[in-house]
Amino acid sequence: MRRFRLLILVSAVSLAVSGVAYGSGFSIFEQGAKATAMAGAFAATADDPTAIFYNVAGIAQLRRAEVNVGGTAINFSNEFRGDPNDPFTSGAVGEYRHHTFIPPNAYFVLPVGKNLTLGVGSFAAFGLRTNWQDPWIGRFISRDANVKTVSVEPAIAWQTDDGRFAIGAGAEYRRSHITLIRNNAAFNPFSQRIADVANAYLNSDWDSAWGWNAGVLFKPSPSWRIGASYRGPMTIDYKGDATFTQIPTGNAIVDAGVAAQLPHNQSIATSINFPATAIVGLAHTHGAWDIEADVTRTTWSRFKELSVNFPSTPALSFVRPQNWEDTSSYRLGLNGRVASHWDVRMGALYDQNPQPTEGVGPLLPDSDRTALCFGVGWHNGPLTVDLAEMALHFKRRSTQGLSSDNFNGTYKTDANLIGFNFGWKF
Amino acid sequence: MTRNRSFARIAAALLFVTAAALPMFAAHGTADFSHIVALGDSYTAGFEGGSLNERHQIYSPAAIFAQQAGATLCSPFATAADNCFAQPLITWPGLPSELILTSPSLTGVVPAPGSGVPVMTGFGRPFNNLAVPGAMLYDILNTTGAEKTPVTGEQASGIAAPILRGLGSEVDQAIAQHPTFVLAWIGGDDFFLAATGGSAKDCNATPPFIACMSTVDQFKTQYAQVLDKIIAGAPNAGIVVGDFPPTIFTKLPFTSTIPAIVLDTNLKPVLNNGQPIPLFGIVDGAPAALPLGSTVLLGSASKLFTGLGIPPQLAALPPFNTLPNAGKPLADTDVLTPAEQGAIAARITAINAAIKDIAAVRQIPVADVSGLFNRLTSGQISVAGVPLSTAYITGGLVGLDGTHLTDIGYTLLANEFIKATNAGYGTHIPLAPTSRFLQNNDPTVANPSKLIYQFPTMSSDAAKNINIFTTIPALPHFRSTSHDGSTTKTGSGNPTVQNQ
Repeated sequence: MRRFRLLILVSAVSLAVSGVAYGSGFSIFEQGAKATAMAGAFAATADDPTAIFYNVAGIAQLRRAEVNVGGTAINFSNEFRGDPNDPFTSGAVGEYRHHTFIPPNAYFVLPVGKNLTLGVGSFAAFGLRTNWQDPWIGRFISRDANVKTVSVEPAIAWQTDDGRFAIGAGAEYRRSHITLIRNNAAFNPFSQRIADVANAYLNSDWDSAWGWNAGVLFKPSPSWRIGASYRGPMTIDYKGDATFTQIPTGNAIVDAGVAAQLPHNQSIATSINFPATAIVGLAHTHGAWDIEADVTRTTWSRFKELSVNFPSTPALSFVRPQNWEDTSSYRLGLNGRVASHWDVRMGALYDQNPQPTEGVGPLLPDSDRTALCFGVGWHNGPLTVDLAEMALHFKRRSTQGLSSDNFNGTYKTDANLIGFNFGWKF
Repeated sequence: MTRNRSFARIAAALLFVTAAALPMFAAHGTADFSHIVALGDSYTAGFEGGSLNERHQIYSPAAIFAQQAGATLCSPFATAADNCFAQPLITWPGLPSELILTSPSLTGVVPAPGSGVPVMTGFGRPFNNLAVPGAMLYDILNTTGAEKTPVTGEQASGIAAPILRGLGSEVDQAIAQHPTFVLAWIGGDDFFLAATGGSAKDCNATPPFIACMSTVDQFKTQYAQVLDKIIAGAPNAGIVVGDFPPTIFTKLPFTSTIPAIVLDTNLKPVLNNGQPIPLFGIVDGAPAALPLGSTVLLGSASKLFTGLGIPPQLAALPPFNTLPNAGKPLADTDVLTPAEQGAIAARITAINAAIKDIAAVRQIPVADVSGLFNRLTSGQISVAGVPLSTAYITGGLVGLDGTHLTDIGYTLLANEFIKATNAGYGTHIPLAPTSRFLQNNDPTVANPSKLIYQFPTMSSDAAKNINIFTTIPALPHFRSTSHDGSTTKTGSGNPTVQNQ
């Protein structure tokens, strides 16, 4: 009965998730404070319940029932500056509305017998929010884009009697929701200006798909660990509604013309091809210190386009080519058991962006990231507390005059992430 | 020896300081924009909607160029001592009164009530923007605004008086200011005034020059004179000039909107045996059917209302028999024929070659205005995702007079001169943004006081003139006929004609 309640808790916490992208593309790699403090280099360590996300084989190491709940508070600053050689954006500036995102995560593991561990986790592996602050001259491309996901993953892992080898697998049930908001403009011949005439609000249902993941963990010697995990690709087909709201221009003739052309509210359909992620990690223990290096590979080349289909008004359907590329990230983490109850951690990462220059725009201005992280862990009896701080820097990204939306400029983003997780061993 | 070493150290230090300072100057290239002067005609002046007034003068290509290059615009209350870009501001609705749109049709384009007043006639130095609507090269060299006996269109219009104020010609006043940079898009009215006057005739060797095209030789001589006077008077000043689009009059609404054929109320040609019926006008000095491909100038549209141009064979038939001038020919000056179009295009091509040569010898960059015009007319321009065109009223790039550009169009024009300047002088002037012409009436904007760009959408005077139509009304001068030749009734109750 208690376990059942925990399962409910896991799902309820994760349903509160709000999306924001802090891994390459729109993935979110920060799903546990210990791993975050080690820059996500955790696939070969995987020694707390967040292993369900990082390397599911790792939960086989956990021989006590354990719950772990936390979140990552994300704040960021960003800036768009128009390209002085772009006749539309020159001199313009823009920034996101300020949001603090706290994608939560929750995990529960339950050992069964000597070798088996069952677990369930809930996390938001993908998400995106680009909500531009008015007045935003890119509002005709995107005012607000919001992709939310929440996953629930039952998992199972098994290890050999000597604990040197473990395998695990999970089935991920991912639900996702998309909102896209933008304005439409028209030339107003009375004012000789370009007027906002309508707002298009595209809102999907919560739609879902199943995926799978698996991992292995191998300890060739007491001081060396090798981990590898794979989270499979997924495609979610969304259905939803498009709502068109007229924006009055102040001119009755123009407004009547717009009203006559305004599309009726109608159903829409779209889909997103989520990528697969493969991680390989190598960890070494030297005295009180663990060091781990991981490489991840994400198949963002699956994200070829964002197309929205309007079945009842095909003329409104659109396809935005994305043509993303597969990416790698490189992560290095350090964990030191410096006192009987205390660990200190640090890490650094480099995360490639998958987005070709042509596609960099208001919907998602991605760029290569680097981060420095540190954190502490405190454990006393059954209780663990992990805290992490990550300073994430996005490389300044210019469209170099190549924007496919003819919306050229430079995007600059920095983020600060604070991870926190609380664990209890039963 | 010690002294020598000290000198060497000082020299090295100076060299270092100079080298360190170089990148700052390099950012400005080789041009100095501390005192910009503009010469030109109505386009450079910011003439828009048939009017010169301050609402558009602030978006004149010269003003936009100057601002992007770092200048501030003079307010109407500026004095000669103020370091600002001065223009001969005229209050709204301007001189002449600006055309406003009261309904989306030809007949909905009317002058705003009242007239504007020049407010800087006492300004204590020459204006930075000396462009005068109607200025031919002859005017730029000679006209001072004090002429008693006009010999050019500019002089006859009287608009030179509040701009040049008798203080000297455009070029003389430019030199008198010791300019550091001169924007000189000049020579357009050496063919433009002829075309918009329905003519392709050459000017005589000597004035008067009214609605005529300068010959290529005249153009070359005077163009070089203007540039050489600037170079002699302001030897260190940078200069940028521009070419002209040869096909401009096949796309400009003023000369391309109204085909010289009988149309019905749906703007469809009335056909006779499958062929359109040409309007009737003076061709080569004699009345005749206008050649197919001819256009009636927008400025002559009102003449069509009276029946002018209706072929004699239709004149006795209803409804044309109710029009006082049915059967009488349109004047030569009301129409641009394909032959005239061709002659003008050939002239523009020739003067473009002349401009290129004259500028090249003097190492002056030439703005690619003809390239811009090709983009304007080929659907390559969009603002905020809205494709713009040179279509009359609705296109967004050409104003309500059908000949001059809108603020958006002038911004794009200014950008061509910025590009040419940057390319020619190694400068980094940012382009002027068209995004400033977003009406930005988004009611979801949380705090309107934070808007970056705010513009008046329409004057209260203009708003009073708005008629509320839900559909585009029929144009009264177009006769409504059925296309199969049978007699029908129009929606307005006018009798229609059986085609001949």
